[in-house]
Amino acid sequence: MGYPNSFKHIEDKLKASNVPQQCIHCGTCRTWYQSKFWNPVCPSGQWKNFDPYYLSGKMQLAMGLLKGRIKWSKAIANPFFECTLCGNCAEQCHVVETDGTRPIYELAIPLLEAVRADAVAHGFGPDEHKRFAEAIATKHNPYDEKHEERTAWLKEAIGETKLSKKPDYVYFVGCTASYRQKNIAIATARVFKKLGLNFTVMEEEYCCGSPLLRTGRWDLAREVAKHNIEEVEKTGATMIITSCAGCYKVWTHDYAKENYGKVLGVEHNFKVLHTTELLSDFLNKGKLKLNGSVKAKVTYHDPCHMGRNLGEKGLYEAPRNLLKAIPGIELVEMERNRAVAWCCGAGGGVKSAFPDFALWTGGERIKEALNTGASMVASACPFCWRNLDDSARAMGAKLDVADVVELVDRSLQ
Amino acid sequence: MGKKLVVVSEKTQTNNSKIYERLAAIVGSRYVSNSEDVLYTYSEDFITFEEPGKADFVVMPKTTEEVQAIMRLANRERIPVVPWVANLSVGALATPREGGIVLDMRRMNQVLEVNEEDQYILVEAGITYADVVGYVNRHYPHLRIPVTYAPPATGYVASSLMYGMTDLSMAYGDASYFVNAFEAVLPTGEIIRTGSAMSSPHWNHHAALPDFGLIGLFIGWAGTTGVVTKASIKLYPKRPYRADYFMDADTVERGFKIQRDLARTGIIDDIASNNWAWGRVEAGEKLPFTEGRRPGEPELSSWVSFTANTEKELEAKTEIVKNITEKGGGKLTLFEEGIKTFTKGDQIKFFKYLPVQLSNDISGARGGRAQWVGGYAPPSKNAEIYRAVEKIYEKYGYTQAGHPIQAYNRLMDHGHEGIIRYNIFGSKDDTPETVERHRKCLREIGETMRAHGTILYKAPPYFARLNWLGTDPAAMSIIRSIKRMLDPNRIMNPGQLDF
Repeated sequence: MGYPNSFKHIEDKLKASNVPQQCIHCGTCRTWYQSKFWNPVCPSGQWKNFDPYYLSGKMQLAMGLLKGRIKWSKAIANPFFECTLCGNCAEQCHVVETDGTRPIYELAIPLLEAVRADAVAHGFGPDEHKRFAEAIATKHNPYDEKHEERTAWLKEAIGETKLSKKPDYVYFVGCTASYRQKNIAIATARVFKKLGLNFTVMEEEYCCGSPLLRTGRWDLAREVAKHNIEEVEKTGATMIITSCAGCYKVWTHDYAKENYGKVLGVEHNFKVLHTTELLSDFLNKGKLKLNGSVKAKVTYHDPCHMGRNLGEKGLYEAPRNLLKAIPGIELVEMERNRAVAWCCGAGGGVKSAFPDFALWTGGERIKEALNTGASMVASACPFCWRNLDDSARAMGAKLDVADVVELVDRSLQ
Repeated sequence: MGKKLVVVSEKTQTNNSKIYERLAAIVGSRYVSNSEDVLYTYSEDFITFEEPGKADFVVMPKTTEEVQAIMRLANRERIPVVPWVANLSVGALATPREGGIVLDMRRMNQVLEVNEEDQYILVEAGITYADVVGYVNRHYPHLRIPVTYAPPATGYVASSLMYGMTDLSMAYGDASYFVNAFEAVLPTGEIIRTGSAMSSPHWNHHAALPDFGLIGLFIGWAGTTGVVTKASIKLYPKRPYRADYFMDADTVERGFKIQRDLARTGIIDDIASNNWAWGRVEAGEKLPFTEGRRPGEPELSSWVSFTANTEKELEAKTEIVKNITEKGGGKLTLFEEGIKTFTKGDQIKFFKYLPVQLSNDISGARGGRAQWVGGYAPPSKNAEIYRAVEKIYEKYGYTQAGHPIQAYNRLMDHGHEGIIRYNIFGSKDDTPETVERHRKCLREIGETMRAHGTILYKAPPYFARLNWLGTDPAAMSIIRSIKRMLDPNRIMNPGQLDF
C-alpha cells in the first residue's frame, strides 16, 4: 500500500501501529467513553449525522483512498474538512497495543491532517481555505487585513508602541487577537505592563501557521514558521508568551522536532508559555495579587489546542487557578470539561468554510454553559472567544464571554 | 423466492433524481444523501470478510410516520430497504446487497417513557447503548438496563432483534427475552404494535393475543419483515452489591461443566468464557505469541458475575459459587485480583462497566478485520463442538499460538440456552487468497456447528442458508408464507436471509 507524500512524516508510525487498519468502525469515538452519561463528543458527526462525519467513517474513507477503492472528489473530501479537528473522537478511542499505547488516540489527528494535505494536493478543499492561505501569503494574516496595522491595538492598550529593545519575553499575539479580538491583546499587554514584565511585540510577526497546518496547506506553513522563528531570534528573547491556544499549539507542539518540526524544516529552543501558564506561575510565587472583585458565576471552556490536542501536556489547571483566585468569581464546571470538553466550533478551518456548523457547535457549548447556571463563560483563546460569543448572540443567550486574561485585568484595576 | 427487484442502481439517473426528491420531501433534504462519501461508508461492512454491497440512498427518518412514508414509496417503486443503526453485527447484516435505500435509524434515538412501577423503558429503535445507558444513569440511577460487551454505538433494539446477549442473560435469557413489545412499520407501510401494546396502552408484557404478541415477526428476521420503530425493554433494580470472578479450568470439558452447575443455582447474572489463547490476549500478552499453551495454563477462562441486595446475601452467593467451582476442579479469582497480573490494564478494567470498546476482541490480529460464526448450541454440546472446531482451525493452518483464534461462549437462562462463537481475525491488508482461506474455514466451522445442532445467529447469507438446509419443511413453509404476506415485493433487506 503506497502512502501519499503528505503521509511521509507519519508513515513509519502508521505502519508500525496498523493505522487506519485497526479502526473497527465500532463508534466508540462518538461518546465520552466510560463516563456516567455517555455524552456526545463529536461535533462533526452530531451535526451531519451521516457516518462519514464520525472518525470511524473518516477512517473508512481513508482506507478506501489508500486502497484505491475510491478516488478524491469534492464529496469524498467534504467529511474531512467539515470537522473541527478537535480530537475528542481520538480521545475516546481505546484501541490499545499490548504495551498500553493507544495508536488511534495518538495518530488520528496527524492522520486526518495528512489526509487533508493530500486532498489539497489533488485540488480539493474549501475555497475559503484557499482564500485565507492567499491572504497569509500576501498579508501574513488570514483576515486579509493590512500587515502594518497588526500592532495598532498596542497604543490603546498601554499608550505606547515602542517596547523593550532587549526583552525577556516576546508576546506572540496571533492574528485573531491582533485584528479581531483586540480586547484580548489589550488586556494581556495591560496585565504585562502592570506586572512590570520586560516584553515586546513583534511588528514583523506573521500568522503562526496554524490555519495552514490544520487545512492541509503545508508549503506556506513552512515559510511562516521559519520567518517567525527568525524574528523571535532577532529580539534576543528566550521566552515566548502567547494568549492564543492555536499559536500555543503551533509553538509548543507543531514546531517540535518529534511532531511537525522535521517536515516543516524548523527547530527552536524558546521556552513557550501560554499567558495563563505564566500568570498562574506568578500567582503561585506571589508576584501576581488579584485583589479586585469580579462578581460572576463563571464556567471555563477548555480550548482544544491547549488541552487534549497536547496529550499529557494539556493545560487545564492554570486558567482555573487564576479564575479561582479572582475575588467574587464562583467557578462552576460543565459536564464535559478538560480533556473531553466539547469544541467551541471554530477550529480546523470550520469557522470560515462552514459558518453554520461553527455556530451550531458553539451553540451546543453555550447550552452546556447555561446548564451550569453560569452568567459567564471564560476561555483562553481568541478564536474560542469569537465563536462562543457569536453563538451566544445567535441564540439570544444571556451569557457573557470573556478571556481569563480580561478577568485578571479587571481584577487588577 | 419470488420476484426480481428492479435495483435502483440499474435505473436511469432521472428516476434516481425523482426518488431522491421524494425521499427529501419526506425527511428533509438534510437527512437524505446519495453523495459518494456517504454511499461508500454505508455499502461495506468495515470489519468482516463479507463482500461489499452498494447503497443508492441513505435516509435518516425522525418519526414512525416518516418511516411509513419511506416504506410506502419503496414498496410502490420496488426499492430494497436495509434498516441500519451501527452496522456492528459482525455479520454484515446491514449490507445493501441489492442496492436501494439504507434506512439509518439513528435520529430515532429518544427514550419515550420510563415506567418504574411496571419496570420498562420505551425507546425508539435507533437508540444506542451509550444513549440508553447514559439516560438511565442520569435519570434513574437506581435502575439497571441489560447491556452486553459491545461498543457504545451498538444499536440497542437491533441487538435484541438479533438474539444478542446481555449482562443479565444468565438470569433472564438472551436479549430478545428482555423485549416486551415493538412498534414496527411493515414493508407495505402499515404500522403494527405487538405484545401488550397491541391491545392496551401499556408496554409491559410480551404476551397478548395470540400468545407472544407477534414479536416473533421481527426477532431473528434480520430486518427482512419490517422496520421496528419502538421497543419496550425490561428494566431491573440495580442491586447495591456485586462480585465478579475469573473462573479457570484446565480443560474445556471441566470448564463448561462448572458453568452449567453454576447456572443451575439461579444466583448468577452472567457467565461468559474464552479459550486459553484469548485469555492471554485479554490479559495483554504481546502478539504474535511465540509459544503454545504453557503447563498449568487454563484451557477455558470464564468470568462470573452476580449481585445481591445485602452484604450477607453476597457472602452466601459467593460461598455457593466457590463450593461449586472447587468441587468441579476449577479455580476462582476475584476480578480485581486477577487483573493485577494483566500487562494491559486499560481495557480490561472496563469489563465491569458496559458498554465497552473491546478492541482486542475484534482487532485481534491488529489488522482490524474479523468475522465469527456463532449460534445457539445445546449447552451440553459445547465441549464437543469446541474439539471439532479445533480440528478445523488446524486444517486451515490457524493455531492458538501466533495470532490466535477466539472461542467465545455465553451460557444463558440458567443454562437452558447459550451462544458459542468462533472467530477468525485478519487484516484489511489481507490478500484475496488469505481472505478466501478465512471464509472457507468459517464456512466449515458453520457446517460443523450445524451438524451438532447449533442454530447459527447473526448469520450472513451463506450461514443463513445452512440454517434453512436443516429446517423442518413444514416450518419452512410457514416462514416463507409469513415473509410473502408481510413483504410481498421482497423489498426488505433482500439477499440477507436468502430463503
